[in-house]
Amino acid sequence: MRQEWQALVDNHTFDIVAKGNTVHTPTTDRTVEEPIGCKWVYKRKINPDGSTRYKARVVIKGYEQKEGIDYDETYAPVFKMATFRLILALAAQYGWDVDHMDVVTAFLNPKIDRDNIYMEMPLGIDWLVSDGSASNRNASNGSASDGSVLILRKALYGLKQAPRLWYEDIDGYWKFLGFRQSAEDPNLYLQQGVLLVLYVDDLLIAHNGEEGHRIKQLLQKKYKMCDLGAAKRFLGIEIEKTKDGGFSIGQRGYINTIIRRF
Amino acid sequence: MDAKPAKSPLDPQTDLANTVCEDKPANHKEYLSMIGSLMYAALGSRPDIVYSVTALSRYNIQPLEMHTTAAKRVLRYLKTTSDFRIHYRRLPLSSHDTNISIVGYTDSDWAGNLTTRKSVGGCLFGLATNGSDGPVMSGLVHWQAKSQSVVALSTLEAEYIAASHATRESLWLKRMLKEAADGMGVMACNRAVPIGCDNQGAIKLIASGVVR
Repeated sequence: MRQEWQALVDNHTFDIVAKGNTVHTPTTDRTVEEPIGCKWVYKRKINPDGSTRYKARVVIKGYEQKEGIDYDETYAPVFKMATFRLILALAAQYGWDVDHMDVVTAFLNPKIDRDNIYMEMPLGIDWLVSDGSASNRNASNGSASDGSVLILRKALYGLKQAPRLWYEDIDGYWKFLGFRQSAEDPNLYLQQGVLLVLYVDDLLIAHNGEEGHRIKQLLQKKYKMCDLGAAKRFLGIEIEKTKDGGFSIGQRGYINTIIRRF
Repeated sequence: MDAKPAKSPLDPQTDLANTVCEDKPANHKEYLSMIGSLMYAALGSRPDIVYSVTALSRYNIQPLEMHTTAAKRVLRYLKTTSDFRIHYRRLPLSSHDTNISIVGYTDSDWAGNLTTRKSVGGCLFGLATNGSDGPVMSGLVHWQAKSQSVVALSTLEAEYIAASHATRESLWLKRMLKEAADGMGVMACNRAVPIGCDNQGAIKLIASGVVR
Protein backbone atom coordinates (compact mmCIF):
# COMPACT_ATOMS: atom_id res chain seq x y z
CA MET A 1 0.00 0.00 0.00
CA ARG A 2 2.79 2.34 0.90
CA GLN A 3 4.51 1.56 -2.35
CA GLU A 4 1.38 2.37 -4.32
CA TRP A 5 0.79 5.63 -2.46
CA GLN A 6 4.39 6.65 -2.91
CA ALA A 7 4.19 5.87 -6.62
CA LEU A 8 1.11 8.06 -6.96
CA VAL A 9 2.79 10.90 -5.11
CA ASP A 10 6.01 10.58 -7.11
CA ASN A 11 4.04 10.46 -10.31
CA HIS A 12 2.21 13.69 -9.42
CA THR A 13 -1.12 11.97 -9.99
CA PHE A 14 -2.92 14.55 -7.86
CA ASP A 15 -2.69 17.66 -5.76
CA ILE A 16 -4.25 18.03 -2.37
CA VAL A 17 -7.04 20.51 -1.97
CA ALA A 18 -8.38 21.39 1.46
CA LYS A 19 -12.10 21.02 1.68
CA GLY A 20 -14.08 24.21 1.37
CA ASN A 21 -11.27 25.82 -0.55
CA THR A 22 -13.30 25.87 -3.75
CA VAL A 23 -11.31 26.14 -6.92
CA HIS A 24 -13.21 28.10 -9.51
CA THR A 25 -13.88 25.92 -12.52
CA PRO A 26 -16.42 27.54 -14.80
CA THR A 27 -16.90 24.48 -17.01
CA THR A 28 -18.36 22.30 -14.34
CA ASP A 29 -20.83 21.96 -11.61
CA ARG A 30 -18.79 19.39 -9.75
CA THR A 31 -17.10 20.90 -6.77
CA VAL A 32 -14.73 20.00 -4.07
CA GLU A 33 -17.77 19.31 -1.94
CA GLU A 34 -18.69 16.14 -3.80
CA PRO A 35 -15.55 14.24 -4.65
CA ILE A 36 -15.66 10.91 -6.43
CA GLY A 37 -15.07 7.95 -4.18
CA CYS A 38 -12.13 5.65 -4.39
CA LYS A 39 -11.03 2.43 -2.80
CA TRP A 40 -8.13 0.07 -2.44
CA VAL A 41 -8.05 -3.06 -4.50
CA TYR A 42 -5.83 -5.88 -3.38
CA LYS A 43 -4.52 -8.62 -5.57
CA ARG A 44 -2.46 -11.69 -4.99
CA LYS A 45 -0.09 -12.33 -7.84
CA ILE A 46 1.97 -15.39 -8.51
CA ASN A 47 5.45 -14.68 -9.79
CA PRO A 48 6.89 -16.84 -12.55
CA ASP A 49 9.19 -18.41 -9.91
CA GLY A 50 6.17 -19.57 -7.90
CA SER A 51 6.39 -17.10 -5.03
CA THR A 52 3.42 -14.90 -4.25
CA ARG A 53 3.36 -11.18 -3.97
CA TYR A 54 0.62 -8.85 -2.80
CA LYS A 55 -0.33 -5.77 -4.67
CA ALA A 56 -2.45 -2.82 -3.63
CA ARG A 57 -3.85 -0.29 -6.01
CA VAL A 58 -5.93 2.82 -5.54
CA VAL A 59 -8.86 2.85 -7.96
CA ILE A 60 -11.34 5.60 -8.50
CA LYS A 61 -15.02 4.69 -8.57
CA GLY A 62 -15.54 5.44 -12.24
CA TYR A 63 -19.24 4.66 -11.99
CA GLU A 64 -19.71 7.83 -9.95
CA GLN A 65 -18.47 9.91 -12.85
CA LYS A 66 -20.96 11.92 -14.88
CA GLU A 67 -20.74 12.06 -18.64
CA GLY A 68 -20.00 15.53 -20.03
CA ILE A 69 -18.68 16.67 -16.68
CA ASP A 70 -16.11 14.14 -15.71
CA TYR A 71 -15.50 12.57 -19.08
CA ASP A 72 -16.42 12.71 -22.78
CA GLU A 73 -14.61 10.18 -24.90
CA THR A 74 -14.02 6.73 -23.49
CA TYR A 75 -13.58 4.67 -26.63
CA ALA A 76 -10.22 3.01 -27.05
CA PRO A 77 -9.67 0.52 -29.85
CA VAL A 78 -8.57 -3.03 -29.18
CA PHE A 79 -6.84 -5.08 -31.78
CA LYS A 80 -7.98 -8.12 -33.70
CA MET A 81 -6.66 -11.56 -32.86
CA ALA A 82 -6.04 -12.20 -36.55
CA THR A 83 -3.46 -9.41 -36.59
CA PHE A 84 -1.53 -11.06 -33.80
CA ARG A 85 -1.58 -14.42 -35.57
CA LEU A 86 -0.68 -12.98 -38.97
CA ILE A 87 2.39 -11.41 -37.41
CA LEU A 88 3.45 -14.70 -35.83
CA ALA A 89 2.95 -16.50 -39.13
CA LEU A 90 5.07 -13.90 -40.92
CA ALA A 91 7.71 -13.99 -38.21
CA ALA A 92 7.93 -17.77 -38.63
CA GLN A 93 8.30 -17.33 -42.37
CA TYR A 94 11.02 -14.69 -42.27
CA GLY A 95 12.76 -15.55 -39.01
CA TRP A 96 11.91 -12.34 -37.16
CA ASP A 97 12.15 -12.04 -33.42
CA VAL A 98 8.91 -11.50 -31.57
CA ASP A 99 9.40 -9.76 -28.23
CA HIS A 100 6.99 -8.85 -25.50
CA MET A 101 7.10 -5.73 -23.37
CA ASP A 102 4.68 -4.33 -20.89
CA VAL A 103 4.21 -0.86 -19.59
CA VAL A 104 4.27 -0.59 -15.82
CA THR A 105 1.16 1.18 -14.47
CA ALA A 106 0.25 2.34 -17.95
CA PHE A 107 -2.88 4.24 -16.98
CA LEU A 108 -0.99 6.47 -14.58
CA ASN A 109 1.05 7.97 -17.40
CA PRO A 110 -1.28 10.24 -19.33
CA LYS A 111 -2.12 13.73 -18.10
CA ILE A 112 -5.79 14.16 -17.49
CA ASP A 113 -7.93 15.99 -20.02
CA ARG A 114 -9.63 18.34 -17.54
CA ASP A 115 -8.95 19.95 -14.22
CA ASN A 116 -12.11 19.31 -12.26
CA ILE A 117 -11.93 15.72 -11.11
CA TYR A 118 -11.89 15.55 -7.37
CA MET A 119 -11.39 12.35 -5.50
CA GLU A 120 -11.76 11.38 -1.86
CA MET A 121 -8.65 10.75 0.13
CA PRO A 122 -8.06 6.99 0.10
CA LEU A 123 -8.66 5.27 3.42
CA GLY A 124 -5.76 4.78 5.75
CA ILE A 125 -3.55 7.52 4.39
CA ASP A 126 -3.27 9.10 7.83
CA TRP A 127 -1.91 5.88 9.13
CA LEU A 128 0.45 5.37 6.19
CA VAL A 129 1.81 8.88 6.47
CA SER A 130 2.06 9.04 10.25
CA ASP A 131 4.01 5.83 10.16
CA GLY A 132 6.78 8.02 8.94
CA SER A 133 8.57 5.97 6.36
CA ALA A 134 6.44 7.15 3.47
CA SER A 135 8.02 10.50 2.90
CA ASN A 136 5.18 12.58 1.68
CA ARG A 137 6.27 15.77 0.11
CA ASN A 138 2.95 16.41 -1.45
CA ALA A 139 0.48 15.06 1.02
CA SER A 140 2.15 16.19 4.18
CA ASN A 141 -0.37 18.91 4.82
CA GLY A 142 -3.47 17.01 3.85
CA SER A 143 -5.18 14.04 5.35
CA ALA A 144 -8.54 12.33 5.32
CA SER A 145 -9.44 13.50 8.80
CA ASP A 146 -9.13 17.20 8.04
CA GLY A 147 -11.41 16.83 5.06
CA SER A 148 -8.91 17.32 2.29
CA VAL A 149 -9.69 15.93 -1.14
CA LEU A 150 -7.50 15.22 -4.13
CA ILE A 151 -7.64 16.88 -7.50
CA LEU A 152 -6.47 14.56 -10.22
CA ARG A 153 -3.71 15.61 -12.59
CA LYS A 154 -3.08 12.29 -14.22
CA ALA A 155 -5.26 9.31 -15.03
CA LEU A 156 -5.99 6.67 -12.44
CA TYR A 157 -7.19 3.10 -12.68
CA GLY A 158 -10.95 2.98 -12.70
CA LEU A 159 -11.34 6.36 -14.33
CA LYS A 160 -13.73 6.04 -17.23
CA GLN A 161 -11.50 7.77 -19.71
CA ALA A 162 -8.25 6.19 -18.50
CA PRO A 163 -7.93 3.65 -21.33
CA ARG A 164 -8.69 6.34 -23.86
CA LEU A 165 -6.19 8.80 -22.39
CA TRP A 166 -3.55 6.11 -22.30
CA TYR A 167 -4.22 5.16 -25.89
CA GLU A 168 -3.90 8.78 -27.03
CA ASP A 169 -0.71 9.14 -25.06
CA ILE A 170 1.06 6.13 -26.51
CA ASP A 171 -0.41 6.62 -29.97
CA GLY A 172 1.13 10.09 -30.00
CA TYR A 173 4.49 8.65 -29.01
CA TRP A 174 4.45 6.03 -31.77
CA LYS A 175 3.78 8.72 -34.31
CA PHE A 176 6.52 10.87 -32.84
CA LEU A 177 8.90 7.92 -33.29
CA GLY A 178 7.92 7.73 -36.94
CA PHE A 179 5.54 4.80 -36.83
CA ARG A 180 2.65 4.60 -39.25
CA GLN A 181 -0.66 3.32 -37.97
CA SER A 182 -2.14 0.49 -39.97
CA ALA A 183 -5.30 1.27 -41.86
CA GLU A 184 -6.59 -2.26 -41.27
CA ASP A 185 -6.07 -2.49 -37.54
CA PRO A 186 -5.57 0.69 -35.49
CA ASN A 187 -3.46 -1.19 -32.96
CA LEU A 188 -0.84 -2.21 -35.46
CA TYR A 189 2.00 0.23 -36.03
CA LEU A 190 4.64 -0.09 -38.70
CA GLN A 191 8.08 1.23 -39.34
CA GLN A 192 10.90 0.00 -41.52
CA GLY A 193 11.94 -3.26 -39.89
CA VAL A 194 9.56 -3.14 -36.93
CA LEU A 195 5.95 -4.23 -36.45
CA LEU A 196 4.29 -3.31 -33.25
CA VAL A 197 1.02 -4.59 -31.81
CA LEU A 198 -0.46 -2.77 -28.86
CA TYR A 199 -2.95 -4.28 -26.46
CA VAL A 200 -3.60 -1.69 -23.76
CA ASP A 201 -0.31 -1.99 -21.85
CA ASP A 202 1.05 -5.06 -23.58
CA LEU A 203 3.29 -4.68 -26.60
CA LEU A 204 4.32 -7.24 -29.12
CA ILE A 205 7.30 -6.22 -31.20
CA ALA A 206 8.26 -8.15 -34.31
CA HIS A 207 11.59 -7.08 -35.70
CA ASN A 208 14.58 -8.29 -37.61
CA GLY A 209 17.35 -7.24 -35.26
CA GLU A 210 19.01 -3.85 -34.81
CA GLU A 211 16.05 -1.60 -35.37
CA GLY A 212 13.96 -3.46 -32.80
CA HIS A 213 16.51 -2.89 -30.08
CA ARG A 214 16.70 0.79 -30.87
CA ILE A 215 12.90 1.12 -30.58
CA LYS A 216 12.92 -0.76 -27.29
CA GLN A 217 15.46 1.65 -25.87
CA LEU A 218 13.47 4.66 -27.02
CA LEU A 219 10.38 3.20 -25.37
CA GLN A 220 12.13 2.65 -22.11
CA LYS A 221 13.18 6.28 -22.08
CA LYS A 222 9.59 7.45 -22.24
CA TYR A 223 7.76 4.89 -20.11
CA LYS A 224 8.57 2.61 -17.26
CA MET A 225 8.65 -0.66 -19.17
CA CYS A 226 9.26 -4.28 -18.45
CA ASP A 227 11.13 -6.11 -21.22
CA LEU A 228 9.90 -9.69 -21.11
CA GLY A 229 12.17 -10.87 -23.91
CA ALA A 230 10.90 -13.33 -26.50
CA ALA A 231 7.11 -13.49 -26.27
CA LYS A 232 5.91 -16.52 -24.33
CA ARG A 233 2.43 -15.51 -23.38
CA PHE A 234 0.28 -12.79 -24.86
CA LEU A 235 -3.32 -12.31 -23.69
CA GLY A 236 -3.36 -15.78 -22.21
CA ILE A 237 -2.18 -17.37 -25.44
CA GLU A 238 0.95 -19.41 -25.05
CA ILE A 239 3.59 -18.90 -27.69
CA GLU A 240 6.36 -21.41 -28.25
CA LYS A 241 9.28 -21.38 -30.54
CA THR A 242 9.36 -24.63 -32.49
CA LYS A 243 12.41 -26.64 -33.49
CA ASP A 244 12.06 -25.69 -37.14
CA GLY A 245 12.27 -21.99 -36.30
CA GLY A 246 8.54 -21.40 -36.43
CA PHE A 247 6.03 -20.61 -33.71
CA SER A 248 3.11 -22.46 -32.24
CA ILE A 249 0.26 -21.09 -30.20
CA GLY A 250 -2.10 -22.81 -27.79
CA GLN A 251 -4.20 -22.12 -24.71
CA ARG A 252 -3.61 -25.07 -22.44
CA GLY A 253 -3.28 -22.92 -19.34
CA TYR A 254 -6.45 -21.02 -20.11
CA ILE A 255 -8.38 -24.19 -20.91
CA ASN A 256 -7.35 -25.76 -17.61
CA THR A 257 -8.51 -22.64 -15.78
CA ILE A 258 -11.96 -22.66 -17.35
CA ILE A 259 -12.34 -26.40 -16.84
CA ARG A 260 -11.65 -25.93 -13.15
CA ARG A 261 -14.17 -23.12 -12.98
CA PHE A 262 -17.12 -25.08 -14.38
CA MET B 1 -14.22 -30.61 -13.60
CA ASP B 2 -13.74 -34.32 -13.30
CA ALA B 3 -14.92 -34.99 -16.79
CA LYS B 4 -15.32 -37.83 -19.21
CA PRO B 5 -13.32 -37.29 -22.36
CA ALA B 6 -15.18 -36.11 -25.45
CA LYS B 7 -13.82 -36.63 -28.93
CA SER B 8 -15.91 -33.99 -30.64
CA PRO B 9 -17.19 -30.64 -29.44
CA LEU B 10 -20.87 -31.20 -30.25
CA ASP B 11 -23.10 -34.27 -30.27
CA PRO B 12 -24.63 -34.52 -33.75
CA GLN B 13 -27.71 -36.21 -32.23
CA THR B 14 -28.66 -33.20 -30.14
CA ASP B 15 -31.07 -30.73 -31.67
CA LEU B 16 -30.16 -27.52 -29.88
CA ALA B 17 -33.03 -25.66 -31.54
CA ASN B 18 -35.67 -28.00 -30.17
CA THR B 19 -37.43 -25.51 -27.94
CA VAL B 20 -40.72 -27.40 -27.76
CA CYS B 21 -39.21 -30.08 -25.59
CA GLU B 22 -39.90 -29.82 -21.89
CA ASP B 23 -36.54 -28.89 -20.57
CA LYS B 24 -35.75 -26.86 -17.49
CA PRO B 25 -34.16 -23.44 -17.98
CA ALA B 26 -30.44 -23.40 -17.38
CA ASN B 27 -28.59 -21.40 -14.76
CA HIS B 28 -28.41 -18.32 -16.95
CA LYS B 29 -25.41 -16.65 -15.39
CA GLU B 30 -23.36 -19.81 -15.45
CA TYR B 31 -24.30 -20.47 -19.06
CA LEU B 32 -23.28 -16.99 -20.23
CA SER B 33 -20.03 -17.18 -18.39
CA MET B 34 -19.34 -20.61 -19.88
CA ILE B 35 -20.03 -19.39 -23.42
CA GLY B 36 -17.87 -16.32 -22.83
CA SER B 37 -14.98 -18.46 -21.67
CA LEU B 38 -15.35 -20.86 -24.58
CA MET B 39 -15.55 -17.95 -26.99
CA TYR B 40 -12.18 -16.66 -25.89
CA ALA B 41 -10.61 -20.05 -26.60
CA ALA B 42 -12.41 -20.18 -29.95
CA LEU B 43 -11.10 -16.75 -30.92
CA GLY B 44 -7.60 -17.33 -29.59
CA SER B 45 -6.30 -20.61 -30.94
CA ARG B 46 -9.18 -23.06 -31.35
CA PRO B 47 -10.93 -22.81 -34.70
CA ASP B 48 -12.17 -26.36 -34.11
CA ILE B 49 -14.73 -25.17 -31.57
CA VAL B 50 -15.86 -22.01 -33.32
CA TYR B 51 -18.84 -23.68 -34.95
CA SER B 52 -20.03 -25.20 -31.67
CA VAL B 53 -19.56 -22.03 -29.65
CA THR B 54 -21.37 -19.88 -32.23
CA ALA B 55 -24.17 -22.44 -32.31
CA LEU B 56 -24.48 -22.42 -28.53
CA SER B 57 -24.28 -18.65 -28.22
CA ARG B 58 -27.54 -18.43 -30.12
CA TYR B 59 -29.25 -19.57 -26.90
CA ASN B 60 -27.66 -16.93 -24.71
CA ILE B 61 -31.04 -15.28 -24.13
CA GLN B 62 -32.96 -18.31 -22.91
CA PRO B 63 -30.66 -21.27 -22.38
CA LEU B 64 -32.11 -24.65 -21.42
CA GLU B 65 -30.41 -27.41 -19.52
CA MET B 66 -29.59 -29.24 -22.73
CA HIS B 67 -27.56 -26.22 -23.83
CA THR B 68 -25.57 -26.29 -20.61
CA THR B 69 -24.98 -30.00 -21.18
CA ALA B 70 -23.80 -29.26 -24.72
CA ALA B 71 -21.53 -26.44 -23.53
CA LYS B 72 -20.04 -28.80 -20.95
CA ARG B 73 -19.35 -31.25 -23.71
CA VAL B 74 -17.32 -28.58 -25.52
CA LEU B 75 -15.37 -28.14 -22.28
CA ARG B 76 -14.81 -31.89 -22.04
CA TYR B 77 -13.63 -31.87 -25.65
CA LEU B 78 -11.21 -29.04 -24.81
CA LYS B 79 -9.94 -31.01 -21.86
CA THR B 80 -9.23 -34.00 -24.09
CA THR B 81 -7.51 -31.81 -26.66
CA SER B 82 -5.94 -29.08 -24.53
CA ASP B 83 -2.60 -29.74 -26.19
CA PHE B 84 -3.85 -28.77 -29.64
CA ARG B 85 -1.78 -25.97 -31.04
CA ILE B 86 -1.56 -23.96 -34.20
CA HIS B 87 1.81 -24.28 -35.79
CA TYR B 88 3.30 -21.54 -37.94
CA ARG B 89 6.19 -22.90 -39.91
CA ARG B 90 8.46 -21.58 -42.58
CA LEU B 91 6.96 -22.36 -45.95
CA PRO B 92 9.32 -23.63 -48.62
CA LEU B 93 9.69 -21.12 -51.43
CA SER B 94 10.42 -22.90 -54.66
CA SER B 95 10.62 -22.41 -58.37
CA HIS B 96 6.83 -22.83 -58.42
CA ASP B 97 6.38 -19.82 -56.25
CA THR B 98 8.79 -17.34 -54.78
CA ASN B 99 6.12 -15.49 -52.86
CA ILE B 100 3.86 -16.10 -49.95
CA SER B 101 0.23 -15.11 -50.04
CA ILE B 102 -3.05 -15.91 -48.38
CA VAL B 103 -5.25 -18.90 -49.12
CA GLY B 104 -8.71 -19.51 -47.77
CA TYR B 105 -11.37 -22.18 -47.60
CA THR B 106 -15.07 -21.97 -46.98
CA ASP B 107 -17.93 -24.31 -46.25
CA SER B 108 -21.45 -24.24 -44.90
CA ASP B 109 -23.95 -26.52 -43.26
CA TRP B 110 -27.10 -26.14 -45.23
CA ALA B 111 -30.10 -25.47 -42.96
CA GLY B 112 -28.11 -26.62 -39.95
CA ASN B 113 -30.67 -24.98 -37.70
CA LEU B 114 -33.67 -27.22 -38.14
CA THR B 115 -36.14 -24.71 -36.74
CA THR B 116 -35.22 -21.56 -38.62
CA ARG B 117 -33.69 -23.40 -41.62
CA LYS B 118 -30.79 -20.98 -41.47
CA SER B 119 -27.32 -22.10 -42.47
CA VAL B 120 -23.97 -21.41 -40.89
CA GLY B 121 -21.14 -20.42 -43.17
CA GLY B 122 -17.52 -20.60 -42.19
CA CYS B 123 -14.17 -19.63 -43.58
CA LEU B 124 -10.55 -20.00 -42.65
CA PHE B 125 -7.34 -18.44 -43.90
CA GLY B 126 -3.64 -18.90 -43.59
CA LEU B 127 -0.37 -18.01 -45.26
CA ALA B 128 0.48 -20.25 -48.15
CA THR B 129 2.72 -20.71 -51.10
CA ASN B 130 2.18 -22.65 -54.30
CA GLY B 131 3.78 -26.07 -54.34
CA SER B 132 3.88 -28.53 -57.20
CA ASP B 133 0.42 -29.83 -56.33
CA GLY B 134 -1.46 -26.83 -55.13
CA PRO B 135 -1.10 -24.51 -52.17
CA VAL B 136 1.07 -25.43 -49.17
CA MET B 137 -0.37 -23.82 -46.09
CA SER B 138 1.08 -22.61 -42.81
CA GLY B 139 -0.96 -22.33 -39.59
CA LEU B 140 -4.38 -20.70 -39.63
CA VAL B 141 -4.39 -16.97 -39.14
CA HIS B 142 -8.07 -16.14 -39.31
CA TRP B 143 -11.32 -18.07 -39.05
CA GLN B 144 -14.99 -17.44 -38.60
CA ALA B 145 -18.33 -19.19 -38.37
CA LYS B 146 -21.42 -17.10 -38.89
CA SER B 147 -25.11 -17.79 -39.00
CA GLN B 148 -26.29 -16.52 -42.36
CA SER B 149 -28.94 -13.84 -42.25
CA VAL B 150 -30.73 -15.09 -45.37
CA VAL B 151 -32.35 -18.51 -45.59
CA ALA B 152 -30.52 -20.44 -48.28
CA LEU B 153 -32.76 -22.70 -50.34
CA SER B 154 -30.05 -25.04 -51.51
CA THR B 155 -26.52 -26.04 -50.65
CA LEU B 156 -25.45 -23.97 -53.63
CA GLU B 157 -26.99 -20.84 -52.15
CA ALA B 158 -25.56 -21.50 -48.71
CA GLU B 159 -22.07 -22.07 -50.10
CA TYR B 160 -22.32 -19.04 -52.33
CA ILE B 161 -23.19 -16.81 -49.38
CA ALA B 162 -20.33 -18.30 -47.37
CA ALA B 163 -17.90 -17.74 -50.23
CA SER B 164 -19.04 -14.16 -50.62
CA HIS B 165 -18.44 -13.54 -46.94
CA ALA B 166 -15.04 -15.21 -47.14
CA THR B 167 -14.11 -12.99 -50.05
CA ARG B 168 -14.74 -9.88 -47.99
CA GLU B 169 -12.64 -11.23 -45.13
CA SER B 170 -9.88 -12.15 -47.55
CA LEU B 171 -9.64 -8.61 -48.88
CA TRP B 172 -8.98 -7.34 -45.40
CA LEU B 173 -6.32 -9.98 -44.77
CA LYS B 174 -4.68 -9.37 -48.10
CA ARG B 175 -4.33 -5.65 -47.43
CA MET B 176 -2.99 -6.38 -44.00
CA LEU B 177 -0.39 -8.81 -45.35
CA LYS B 178 0.69 -6.29 -47.95
CA GLU B 179 1.02 -3.57 -45.35
CA ALA B 180 3.04 -5.70 -42.93
CA ALA B 181 5.28 -7.12 -45.64
CA ASP B 182 5.99 -3.69 -47.10
CA GLY B 183 6.86 -2.35 -43.68
CA MET B 184 9.34 -5.14 -43.10
CA GLY B 185 10.76 -4.98 -46.59
CA VAL B 186 9.84 -8.52 -47.58
CA MET B 187 8.01 -9.69 -50.65
CA ALA B 188 4.39 -10.62 -50.30
CA CYS B 189 2.17 -11.38 -53.13
CA ASN B 190 -0.64 -9.05 -53.87
CA ARG B 191 -2.44 -11.57 -56.03
CA ALA B 192 -6.05 -12.54 -55.61
CA VAL B 193 -6.69 -14.83 -52.68
CA PRO B 194 -7.73 -18.30 -53.84
CA ILE B 195 -10.68 -19.55 -51.82
CA GLY B 196 -11.46 -23.24 -51.76
CA CYS B 197 -15.11 -24.26 -51.94
CA ASP B 198 -16.50 -27.79 -52.23
CA ASN B 199 -19.71 -27.06 -54.07
CA GLN B 200 -19.45 -27.40 -57.84
CA GLY B 201 -22.63 -25.43 -58.42
CA ALA B 202 -21.43 -22.51 -56.34
CA ILE B 203 -18.02 -22.55 -58.03
CA LYS B 204 -19.65 -22.44 -61.46
CA LEU B 205 -21.96 -19.65 -60.37
CA ILE B 206 -19.07 -17.57 -59.03
CA ALA B 207 -16.91 -18.27 -62.09
CA SER B 208 -19.70 -17.46 -64.52
CA GLY B 209 -19.78 -13.89 -63.39
CA VAL B 210 -23.53 -13.81 -63.96
CA VAL B 211 -24.22 -12.88 -60.37
CA ARG B 212 -21.80 -10.51 -58.72
